[in-house]
Amino acid sequence: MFDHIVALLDAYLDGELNSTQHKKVEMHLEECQACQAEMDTLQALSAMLLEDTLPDFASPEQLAANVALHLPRTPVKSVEWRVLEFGWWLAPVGLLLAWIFISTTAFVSNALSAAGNFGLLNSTFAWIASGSPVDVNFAALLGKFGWLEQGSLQRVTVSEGSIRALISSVFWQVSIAMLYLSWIAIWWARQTHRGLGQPLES
Amino acid sequence: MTTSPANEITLVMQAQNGDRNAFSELIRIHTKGVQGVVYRMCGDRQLAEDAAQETFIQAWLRLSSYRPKSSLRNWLYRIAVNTAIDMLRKEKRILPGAVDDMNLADAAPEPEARFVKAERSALVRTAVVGLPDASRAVLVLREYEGLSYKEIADTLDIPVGTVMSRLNYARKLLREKLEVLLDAVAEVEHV
Repeated sequence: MFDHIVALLDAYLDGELNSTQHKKVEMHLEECQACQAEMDTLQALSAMLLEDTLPDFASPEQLAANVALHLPRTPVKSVEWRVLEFGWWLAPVGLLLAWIFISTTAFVSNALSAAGNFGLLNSTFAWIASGSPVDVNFAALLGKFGWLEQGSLQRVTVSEGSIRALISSVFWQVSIAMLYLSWIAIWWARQTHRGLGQPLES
Repeated sequence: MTTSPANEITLVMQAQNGDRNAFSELIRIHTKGVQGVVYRMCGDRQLAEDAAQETFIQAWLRLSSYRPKSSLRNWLYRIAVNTAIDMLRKEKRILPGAVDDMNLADAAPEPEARFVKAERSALVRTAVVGLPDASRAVLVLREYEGLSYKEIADTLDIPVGTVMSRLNYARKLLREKLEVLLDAVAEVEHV
């Protein structure tokens, strides 16, 4: 019983016991002089420790000013933050590359498709133009009902194919442009936010 | 100096974004606590001044790793404890020797109460600084900063059970080192 209570005296002194344990120790202290003496010593020790007051230190303002003199311009970034930041700066480059890729692909595809439709490609290169035919549903419909002659139908087919490819290309380019503008907007917002309260403290 | 937790989080986020004024405000808020911790850990005013400054410089350098889900005060205290221990080791400054080496019987021959109190404080400080680092950190955070066991455990990243055992050990050592002083106090109280 004695050892068990002594083990709880530190926590009792620090107010870390639950109400049941606290009451148990309290009741025991009332009847056990040895434990009460132990408790008195702990309390005296605690009081003795607190007797030693703090000396006069630099004021918070003074310390803040001293620290400011020794700080690097910005806090050191964590590895994950630096990876994120690298990705952030890579984003416009990626968008630019995507735009170049889509534009080039669309241009080459249109040129080959048009050349193929007009029979300008020989059999060696014809497979390139026939690789991924563009849907020409409207021209097919006109041809099905025989509303156009063969020559006109071919021109309509070429035109529809070109328009569809153009729309697709424009869609992707507009999307990339929007993403790029969003990136610039976020960058601008970050720069503005960073500017707040930036002047150095003396 | 006190501030609301929400305001402190805002200041931390601004400081993490490089706002030095926000960081200066955080320094002002936590100066007293950090100075208290490093002084109790070092037992020397000048060393504590340097350690407090170094603590905040280290905090600035590591600020990006701080997550507001934990208390900034506890995070700073952890840096303060480690900084104080490091500086104490590096400095090798001649701090007051172990209490065991002092003649406690003659510790307070001076009749003036103020002198006696100052003398006793110096002895207590020396005894605290003489504790093992791990136990001293727990004792300082509990006795001087009033942190709960759970807060100490979070600050030092140790289990609550370890906090209890280290605190118990620190008090046991202090009682042994300060036995003469404690007996003297007990005698005065009984008279």
